[in-house]
Amino acid sequence: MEKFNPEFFFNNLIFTLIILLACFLQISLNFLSFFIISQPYVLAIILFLAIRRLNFETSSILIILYGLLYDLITGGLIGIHSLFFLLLKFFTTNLNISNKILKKFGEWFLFSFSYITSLLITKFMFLIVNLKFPDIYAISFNIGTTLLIFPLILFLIDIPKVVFKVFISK
Amino acid sequence: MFFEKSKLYKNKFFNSLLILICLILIFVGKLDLIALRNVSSFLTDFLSPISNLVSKPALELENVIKDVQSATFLRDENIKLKNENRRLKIIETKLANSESELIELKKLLNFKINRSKIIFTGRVLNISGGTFAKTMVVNGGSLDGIKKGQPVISSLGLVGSIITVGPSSSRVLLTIDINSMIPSYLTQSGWPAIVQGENGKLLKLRFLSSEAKPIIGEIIETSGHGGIFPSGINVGKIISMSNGNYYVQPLPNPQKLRFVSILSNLKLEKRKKSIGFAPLQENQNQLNLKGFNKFNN
Repeated sequence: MEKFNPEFFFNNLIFTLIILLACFLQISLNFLSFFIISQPYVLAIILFLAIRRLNFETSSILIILYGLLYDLITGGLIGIHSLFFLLLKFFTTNLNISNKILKKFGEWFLFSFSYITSLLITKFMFLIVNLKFPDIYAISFNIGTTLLIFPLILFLIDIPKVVFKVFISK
Repeated sequence: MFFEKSKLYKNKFFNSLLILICLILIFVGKLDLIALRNVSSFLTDFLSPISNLVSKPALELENVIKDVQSATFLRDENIKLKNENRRLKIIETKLANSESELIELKKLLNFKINRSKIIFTGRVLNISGGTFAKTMVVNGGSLDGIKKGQPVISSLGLVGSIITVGPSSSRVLLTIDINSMIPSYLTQSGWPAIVQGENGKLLKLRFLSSEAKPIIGEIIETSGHGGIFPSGINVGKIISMSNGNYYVQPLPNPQKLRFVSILSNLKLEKRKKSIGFAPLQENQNQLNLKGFNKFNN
C-alpha cells in the first residue's frame, strides 16, 4: 500500500484553494459593466499560471473535477469546462510545440496559443452539442480581453518578487 | 529507451482517455438528468453566500465607476432628463385618454385577461456569464414558492425563466443564453416570431415570416404561446438588421439588475408533475382521437 505523502496532499490543497478562489473571482466579474459583451477568462489565466509556476505536476483528474464543479456552480453545460481546462493543461505542458513557443516567444505567446486553441476546440464541441451558432463578437471580445489582462495579472503576481529583489536583497 | 517509449504511449493513452471522459460528460450533461440538476441546485444553494461575499468588491467597484460617470455627465444628463420629462408629460395625457377608452371597451366585450401574480421579489446573488452559459442566481427558492419554469421579470421587462430550484436559492436562465427561446410578437407590425439568445449581448429574431417587415426600434413582447411566459411582457427592441437577420436589444441589462420578480405560471401549475427527464406524454385514459374526443366529452 502506498504511503501517505503530505507534500503531495499539501500541494493539491493549495492548488484547489487557488482554483476555488479564481472560480468565485470569475463569477464576480459579471457585475462589472465595462465587460459589456463577455467577461475575460481570469480563471483560465490563473489555471495556466498555476500549471506553469507551481513546483509540481497538477493532476489532470483534479482539473476535470474543478471544471465539473465550475459547471455545476454556474449552471452551464456539464463537462464543457472540464474539457476546456484539460485541453488548456494539455496544450500548455504536453506538446513539444509548447516548449518551442515558450523558448522562442515567451509565456504570453504560449498562453495565447493554448488558450485560443483549447477555447476553439471546446466551442466547436459546444456547437455540435447545441446545434446553434454562438455570437462571434462575444467570443472575440472574450479572447481579446483575456489576452490583454494576462500581462496585467502576470505583473501583479510578480510585484512581490520585484519588491523582494529591490528592498530585501539589498 | 524502451521504457521511455512505453511511458510516452501510456501518457498519450491516458490523455486521450481523459478527453474521452470529458466528451462523455458533455453528452451526459446534455441529457439534463434530474440527479445532476439536484446536485447543481444544492451546490448553488450551498455556495451562493460565499459567491455573494466574493462579489462584493466587484459590486463596490461598479458603484464607484457609476458615481464617477454620473458626476462627469451630470449637466448633460440634467438637460436630457428635462427634455425627456416634457416628452413624457405629453405622452401621459394621451395615454390616460386611451386607457379609459380601453377599460370601457374591455368591459363591453367582457374580455378576460390571464394575469400572472408576483410570487416573490428577490435580490440577485450572482450572474454567471462567460461564453458558455448566461444564468443568474436569485435569493429565493422552493421555500418561497418558486418552481421550475416560472418567468422572471424586472421593472423593464423579461429577464428569463427559472431552471433549477434549491430550498433558498434558484437559478434563472437569462434571455441572452443560447438555450433560451421566447415566443414573441412584434408590437407594431404584429408578426409572431421566436426570440433566441446567442450567448452575447443581443438576441436574434427567428422563424419570422418572409412577409414580415420589422421596423428598427420596434418593441418585442411575449406572445404567451406555449404557456411558459404570459403575454405582453417587454422582451426588447429591434436595433439592427444584417444579412436578413434582425437583432433585438434586451430591455433589462442583466449586469445592472439587483432585484427581480418571479411570476406565477398558471398553465405550468395545472400540469401534473412529470417523472423522468424525457419529454414523454402523460398517460391518457382515453384514445387520443384529435377532433373527436372533444365532441364525446
